[in-house]
Amino acid sequence: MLLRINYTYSNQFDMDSGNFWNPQNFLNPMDLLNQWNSGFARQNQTMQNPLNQLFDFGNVIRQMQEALQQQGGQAFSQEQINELLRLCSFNNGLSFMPPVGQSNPWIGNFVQNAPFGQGLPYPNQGFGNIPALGIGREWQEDLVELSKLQQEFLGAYQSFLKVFSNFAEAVGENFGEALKESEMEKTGFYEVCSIWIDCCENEFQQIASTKEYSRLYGGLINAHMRLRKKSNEIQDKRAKLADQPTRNDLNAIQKENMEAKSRIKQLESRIQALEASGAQKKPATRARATRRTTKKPAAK
Amino acid sequence: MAIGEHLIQEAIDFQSRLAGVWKLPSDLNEVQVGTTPKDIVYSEDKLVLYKYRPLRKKTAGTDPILIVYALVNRPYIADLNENRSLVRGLLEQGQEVYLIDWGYPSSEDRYLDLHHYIEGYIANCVKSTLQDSKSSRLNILGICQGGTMSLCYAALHPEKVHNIITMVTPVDFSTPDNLLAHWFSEVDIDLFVDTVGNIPGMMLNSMFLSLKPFRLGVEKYIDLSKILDNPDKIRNFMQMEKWIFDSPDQAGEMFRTFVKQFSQQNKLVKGEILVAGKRVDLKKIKNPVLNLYAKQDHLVPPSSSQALRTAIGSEDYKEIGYDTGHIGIYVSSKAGRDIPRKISSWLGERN
Repeated sequence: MLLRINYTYSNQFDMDSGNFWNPQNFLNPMDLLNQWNSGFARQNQTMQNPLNQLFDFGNVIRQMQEALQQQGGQAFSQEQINELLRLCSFNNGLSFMPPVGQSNPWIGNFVQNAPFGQGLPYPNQGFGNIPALGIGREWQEDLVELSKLQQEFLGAYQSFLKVFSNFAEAVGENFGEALKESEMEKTGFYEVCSIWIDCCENEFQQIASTKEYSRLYGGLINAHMRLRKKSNEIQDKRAKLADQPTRNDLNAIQKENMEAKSRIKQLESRIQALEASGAQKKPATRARATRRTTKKPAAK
Repeated sequence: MAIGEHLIQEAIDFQSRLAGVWKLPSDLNEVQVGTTPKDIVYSEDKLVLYKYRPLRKKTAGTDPILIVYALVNRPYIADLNENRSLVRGLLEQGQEVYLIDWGYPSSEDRYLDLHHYIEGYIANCVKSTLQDSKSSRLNILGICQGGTMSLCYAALHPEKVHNIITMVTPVDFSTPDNLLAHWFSEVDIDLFVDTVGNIPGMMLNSMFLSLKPFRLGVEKYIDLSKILDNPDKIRNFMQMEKWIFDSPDQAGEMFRTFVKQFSQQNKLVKGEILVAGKRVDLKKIKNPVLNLYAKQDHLVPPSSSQALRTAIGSEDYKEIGYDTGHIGIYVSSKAGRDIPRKISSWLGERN
């Protein structure tokens, strides 16, 4: 589930983890109210921005940041690269789908056979400047390109996040104001939730309808697609080496198949038209009937 | 800030309701949709054309209605259940109803493009409908993107179409309140389609939901707790939930054409769409048009639908706005009761 219910109420309604349905995980009402009392703005802080969770790019970014911190900002471990490749390149769509590449043999093969040994200095800026040498030259060039595209993607993502930098604060303020205006003594549970959601939605709509937002949104998707396209190319090279069909091969077959189907449909239409005209016309007029039906083939 | 005691009690009630989820019927996931009896009239590739069985005697002199649904999501929203069914409503009015089910495109359909849909699938369904109903013309009812495609078909073949009904149909994609078109405006669609091929339904679904992330992703599930003790309402909720997340992938080339030419370049209202080399000129539509839109539509804003009035050549144009959202127009009880009646009476006046 992409939109997690825990936007609103911390982890107790986390439907992904199953906590939502598990009464054992419920807070007692007083604890719940204490949470409320400290303000919904606190939940906003944990949210940071809605699209972080919406698009699940956050996983990629978090892993990269953690890995860089652990290793002094210099390099990733082989396992981390494996994970990053899986997240960045092999998820379906814009990382919307659950990870599907964990057991993908091409990823493991790619990482294990890369000619740089353990711990590729993968997204390190300096790595792109090392001259490509020897038998691994082509792979190194691909990795450099991939690294640049990943940097570009990270840049686009960071820029995208900035439009939400004041989101939590603005929602918190508006929510506070709205609560002051409402009569708390009469305001019920669902009304409070509704006020909070109104505040969030209004703030989001204001941000999302700006030209700046669409520029950054487009920039993010385009950067991600460039990264993914390069990753696809690398996969295809490996596939070719293993005598496996590439994307281009499959696309060409699909296109041929589509064209063949269209031709068959046209022929079937002509046959039907001929049969129909043959049943109606005398033999002497068959030739003319054929010509006419060729111009106006009936659909299948 | 003081919190009233009633809030404490409500919070306790809320938690009790959540705990009650265990008592819900165990078959809740076995959601039945689209239950009105129907027969297959025609099929081609993954497409199936259905004819619904009549619920009463056909109104004399009426042409059949062909429902053309969008490629996004599934057409059974028009027949969700007995109480929420546009199809059933039309049948009860004595209409003869056909519906196109596009199926689920797979990788072999990646190169399906606009002309395959308009001059292939829709044209063949029109032909089959006319043959089956022994009519010379039909009424076309296009829903959402299906309405846009229906307009293209009607502009190219006005002689086959008697009346046109559009529901929540985007026509002008450049209106300032069109958030989806606004978001798409800077996306490199060629790169996108070249990279991913067919567009995963879940990806599009996420985009649609993220247009209103807090209402559609949070509020809805908070409100769910209000109906946990009502199996009928839960069942309705689950039917809607099934429909919302039942999203076929989009054929890559069709997606490219639709987003690029219709949304980004707004070619439909400019009269620049080409289908198999033929220009789609909406001014050629002289047929009567009934345009139904939703006043709170977040996907297809009213301004986008209402642009149809000036885009077509017909002088017989009527539009009705419903005080609901994009989905509510199919499933809200008020719209559900009103729309079939309005359509039938409007058609009746034009027989």
